[in-house]
Amino acid sequence: MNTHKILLCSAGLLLLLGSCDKQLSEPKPQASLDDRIAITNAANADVALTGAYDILNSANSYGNQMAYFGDLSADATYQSGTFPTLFEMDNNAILPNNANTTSAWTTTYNGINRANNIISRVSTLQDPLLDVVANGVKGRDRILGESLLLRAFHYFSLVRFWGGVPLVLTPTTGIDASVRVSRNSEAECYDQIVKDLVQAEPLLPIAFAANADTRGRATRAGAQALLSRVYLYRKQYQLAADKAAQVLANTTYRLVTPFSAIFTTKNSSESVWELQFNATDQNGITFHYLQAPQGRRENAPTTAIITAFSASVGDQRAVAALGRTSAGTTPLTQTNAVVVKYNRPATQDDPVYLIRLAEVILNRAEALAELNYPSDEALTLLNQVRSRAGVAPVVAALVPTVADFRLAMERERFLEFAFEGHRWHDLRRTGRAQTVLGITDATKLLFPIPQRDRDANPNLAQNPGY
Amino acid sequence: MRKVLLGSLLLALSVWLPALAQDVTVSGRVTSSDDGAALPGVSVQVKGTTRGVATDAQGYYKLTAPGATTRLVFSFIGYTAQEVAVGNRTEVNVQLAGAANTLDEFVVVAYGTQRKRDVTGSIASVGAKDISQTRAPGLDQAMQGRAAGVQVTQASGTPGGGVSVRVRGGSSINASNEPLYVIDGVPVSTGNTTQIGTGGQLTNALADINPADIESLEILKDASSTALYGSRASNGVVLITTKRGKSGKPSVSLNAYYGNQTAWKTYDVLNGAQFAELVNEARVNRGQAVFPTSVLDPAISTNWQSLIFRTAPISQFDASVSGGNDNTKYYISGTYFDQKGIIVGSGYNRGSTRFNLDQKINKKISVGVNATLSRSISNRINNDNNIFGVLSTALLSPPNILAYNADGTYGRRPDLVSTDNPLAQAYENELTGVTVRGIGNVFGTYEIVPGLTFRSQFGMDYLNTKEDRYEPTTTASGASVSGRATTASFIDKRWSMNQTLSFNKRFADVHYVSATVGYVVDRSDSETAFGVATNFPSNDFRRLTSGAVKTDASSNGSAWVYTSKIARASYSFKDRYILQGTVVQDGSSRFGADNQYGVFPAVSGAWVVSDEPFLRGQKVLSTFKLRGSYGITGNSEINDFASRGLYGSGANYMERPGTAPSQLPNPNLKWERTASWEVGADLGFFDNRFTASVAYYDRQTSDLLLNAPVPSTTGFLSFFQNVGSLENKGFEFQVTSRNLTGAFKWTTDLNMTFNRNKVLKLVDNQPINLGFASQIAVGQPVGTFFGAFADGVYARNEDNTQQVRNGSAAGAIFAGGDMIFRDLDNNKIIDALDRGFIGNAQPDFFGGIINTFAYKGVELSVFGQFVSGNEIYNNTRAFGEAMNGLFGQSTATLRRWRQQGDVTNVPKAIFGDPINNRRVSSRWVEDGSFLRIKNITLSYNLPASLLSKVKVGSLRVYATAQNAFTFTKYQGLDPEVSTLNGNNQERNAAAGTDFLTFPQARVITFGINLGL
Repeated sequence: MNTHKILLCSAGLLLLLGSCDKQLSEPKPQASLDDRIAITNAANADVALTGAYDILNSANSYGNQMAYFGDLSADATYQSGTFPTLFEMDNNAILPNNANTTSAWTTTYNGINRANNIISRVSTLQDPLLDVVANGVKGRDRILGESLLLRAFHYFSLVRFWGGVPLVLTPTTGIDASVRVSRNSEAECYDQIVKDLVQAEPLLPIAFAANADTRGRATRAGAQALLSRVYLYRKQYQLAADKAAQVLANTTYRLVTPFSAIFTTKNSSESVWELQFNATDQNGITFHYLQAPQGRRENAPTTAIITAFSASVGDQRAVAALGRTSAGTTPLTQTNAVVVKYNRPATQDDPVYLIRLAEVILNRAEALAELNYPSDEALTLLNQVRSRAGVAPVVAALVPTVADFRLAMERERFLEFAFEGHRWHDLRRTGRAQTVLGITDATKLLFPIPQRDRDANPNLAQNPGY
Repeated sequence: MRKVLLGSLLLALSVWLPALAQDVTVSGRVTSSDDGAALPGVSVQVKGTTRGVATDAQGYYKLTAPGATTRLVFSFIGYTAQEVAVGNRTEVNVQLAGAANTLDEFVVVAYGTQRKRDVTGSIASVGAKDISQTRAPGLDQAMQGRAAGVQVTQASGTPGGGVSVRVRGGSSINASNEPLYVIDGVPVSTGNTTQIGTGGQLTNALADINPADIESLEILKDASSTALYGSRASNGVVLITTKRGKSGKPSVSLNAYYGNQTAWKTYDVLNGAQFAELVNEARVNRGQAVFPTSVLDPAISTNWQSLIFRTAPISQFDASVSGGNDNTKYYISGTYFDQKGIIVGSGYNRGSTRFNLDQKINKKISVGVNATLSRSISNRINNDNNIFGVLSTALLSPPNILAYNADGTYGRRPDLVSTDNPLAQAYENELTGVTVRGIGNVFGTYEIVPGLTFRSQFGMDYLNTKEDRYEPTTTASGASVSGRATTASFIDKRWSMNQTLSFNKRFADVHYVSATVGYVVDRSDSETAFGVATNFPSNDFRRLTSGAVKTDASSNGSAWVYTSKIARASYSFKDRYILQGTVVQDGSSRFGADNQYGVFPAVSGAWVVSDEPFLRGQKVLSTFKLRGSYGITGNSEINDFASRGLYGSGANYMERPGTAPSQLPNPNLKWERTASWEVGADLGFFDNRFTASVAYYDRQTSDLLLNAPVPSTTGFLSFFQNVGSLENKGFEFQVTSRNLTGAFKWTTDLNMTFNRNKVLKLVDNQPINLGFASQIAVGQPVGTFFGAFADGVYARNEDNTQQVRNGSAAGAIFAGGDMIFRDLDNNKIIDALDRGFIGNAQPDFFGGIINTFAYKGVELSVFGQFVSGNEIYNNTRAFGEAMNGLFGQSTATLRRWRQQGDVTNVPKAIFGDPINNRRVSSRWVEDGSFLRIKNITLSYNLPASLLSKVKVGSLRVYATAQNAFTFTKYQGLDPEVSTLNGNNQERNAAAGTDFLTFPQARVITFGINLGL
């Protein structure tokens, strides 16, 4: 009797053991997917592609900081807020552990890995839908082209701030010694960027069915425009001029008037590549620039840009870019000026232009002038941008030499793209940064490689001077 | 109908069964041999049976015993148990002698109870009296300072806020370091349940448990006592036993207290004139124009702190009834606790009920239920690292801003600072979190044969936190979006099951064998929902429905399962030599397919030396027990799906769904493993008038679950893997001395712990930086601060004899008024390489000391808690003494350097601080040692002679001062602080950071305990 009872209880216990242990494999994540089944067909490859675009909207990327870096490092804005890391940037004394530059670097490589995942998988996917032609290109080609352009753009962002960086061109599947990559040279990076862009260009549609896609995603004109910029950085002026010309010949793209319309209208005809924001996908740009209660006025316009604007009589761009902390008629100074180019604090969905047509026009103007000066076309193009802003044209007599033209171009870009993140890069590529910004130490023209990555990867060399 | 019949049958059976024997009725009174006072609640047990009663408020008991050969066992916590033969008597009166540390008391252990004699590990107990005296709002706070080896730190003074508990030091870096909490056998959810961030301060699920219901807390510390909890045991286990009914007439207890809380310290800040002077000096030093008075008016001087701190009430009322007979025992209680925070806008209240029932069905079968239901409401305010915080803006706002404008609106100066008006944040924001929680279990035991018992228990812990926030247009955060509402819901459904088979048998009177085997399942399924809307028609509308723009909507779910097969065997020879072994096999859904199971063994032994013949007959050493243990435990408190390779969703663009790689797979992921040993001794001298318990332990943790940083060129920042190791070694002791035992009694309890924590290995031994100044580095304790060494201030330019520069060879030369940062590599450049370990948050020792004085009915207890040798990184000062902008500054800046030759340790004021004098450095690291008189309680028990006239069992009135005095050199608001609580790593390794954190209050309460 007792033995029976003991046996019965033991048997019951054993039964429980078997049935309950099966539960161990039950829990499944509900908002994630096993990475092995994430990209298997046309539909989920496109979903992953959307995910690759998403990184650009991040506040660590062009959703905020990688745009303002270009102004804060230079003389367009100064650090009026409280973040010590941004004081470092304003003072061109960035420490290798700077949280802002670190997150920009890490986020950009996150975007590269997203693109690499698609690039490596899309060519071998077995799905007839990928061979369907839409907007003039096969789905497979388009997905590859868009991913290549994204990757090229990310590497371009990196090389502009940090110089030569490690070229990682395959997706990460695990952690082993191979992830300890070394830096490639600046030239190798640019070669890869050009290679990706050249490969992407014919794969991309000229336009998408919806205007928002044409402006918000990678198109053939986007590849051409970016190539014109990259060639300009590499001083390959003929190529830069030619690529710009291809975009200028495309009737999808026209300057809008008045100038302020660019920042009050989304997806205007000026937009070549514009990050798309909305109520559920917001950016913190107004919070960064506007004063309380809309924001924290972390960065504010410098005396340099206020002076430059006040010297440009009747310039509509001044009104669109510079506001005041309080109503009044006292002269605008860096103490009471505020950046107002981004003006949707209630919805926080201001557009961010990765490329707009005015830049392509100026790219061609600059390339032509560098190729052969004087150049009537270069001057015409420059004045095309000026007249749209309501300022008088630059007459040839004022810019007798190419050196004069370069200065005019520098001023024009300063005003046209104020607070759009171009200034630092423009001064660097023209070799003017030290002179204009008063930076005595040339090594500070490159950001430090983030310390966290150097800690995690001993093969990653630091830039000189850090 | 059938149920009623069955019930009646069971009832009839239960009444009939005990009547079988030849019963005699025995009654009597139990008193204390110390003072002759009645002892209520003494357990009177018929030896060898489960039959027993408890004495009533006057110490009387009455029970029916089966025949004259019966022996009665009288036992009571804190007193030596007595065994008395009944004989032919019908009245048995007993006097129990107080003995703080006898070996024959029972203590709660994993899946059961054990005689203290048989315990081979380290278990610290905190009793109901300690808990009620502490007036702690939560059970975790009740352990503070009372148990050796247990460090309890309240992260802030936020009512209902987070508390960290470390048992013998933190064993992990990335996984949780909090112990496992088990209430009446049910593992319960702990930690944060809020999804609405307000800064660093989170909520604490343990705050839902009513401390007044707790009979005892047992903290299992060493491997042998925790081992049965296997992979969840590395951080210790807290077993909570709630009060149960005892046989006898109903005992009614009514308790109430009321008190006031006040801030015991505020920062000394500059007034309007001083601040304006400082700012203008800083501007001139940077070559900028001074602010005219129209911009910065020295005549305006608002003391923000005085406007946001308040005297806040705290109160509790609780009532309980317990009682029963031989077969049925019950305990029911209800409580209401209400606390307003000392900062306007914050508060917490909790109402809870409990019902515990034990029913004997027949000689072999008993069933029971424990159930508690609680509802708590927390009102939190923005705080900490948050420019919309209340205390933070009160400290950071310049004094030269009006609190209120002439028209009654909140004063703000967005042209000066981005911070909101603190009063707007305190009074206008609304954040209410309601947590409803039910914890319960049903259990049954079946005695298969004498000595062999099967026990089955099913438990559940259901928790729902629903939060609603509205930021009206009267706040800066709400104004920019025309009002913002957030709603969040978190549901955790946890259920558990224990099936155990226990065996106890004594052979030949000298061999005692006990064994337990069992099967345990613990499963949690959680759900979250979260939504945000903006653009409201007006502040009269505060729910998502009314907002025109819905900016966020999400819901998600997660789950984990844990199974465990357990076995414990213990053998005792002559009750003097005890050997115990345990082994468990655990399975967890959290781990990689290749490592889903782990085995955790432990062995331990004890020797009761004082019972040896050679020590008999002497009067000095009354108790002497040596014990030692070795075992392996685990820690699995990481993300539910940490081992899997994942593509996450939500990477959306253009309102289209997107996915992106979110985690790399690691199929080898497994538990953290802690191998620990300890040796200890329990000692009692002079009839246990002086008792001590000492232990030395060594805990080596390996296979640390590190979310190790990886090169971000991979697209990932970190990767969960089992690398790394750390150790905790320490010595702890607990002594109780009954200094005076006459009419005037004086008892001293002291416990101290000396823990040494050290990181032994990391991924490639690369340090991990986190928080503001924290670093995890090999060879250093977890919680180390890393930064520059500040050696004062250059009095003159020429004092920088080495012409040391900032940052690079082309950097600025440090001048008079700049900080002297130590040039560690002597290269005349202060850069990242000139940083080192500037402090750490681990104390050299900590503990508590309690002195209790009693004379007749008057008792005075003074409880001091101390922590020594730890440092705090005071980031509040890094802002409040930065002198680089327009944030409010403390009076320390009055000692600032102003001109060549000034000798001071506060540098010059300079706008923007271009040379970064305020960088992370030892300047902000402070000694965090403190001695806090945590609790002073003066109470008076009215004499029984008086009370019996009014038919009251007992009446006690008392006054308590909590946090009465704090002795510390720390300059911040409270040395007991931990601002960073965002994730496990921050909680573990960035502890001891203070940034604008809500301080604890001084509390004075008056209360009454009434027993009927």
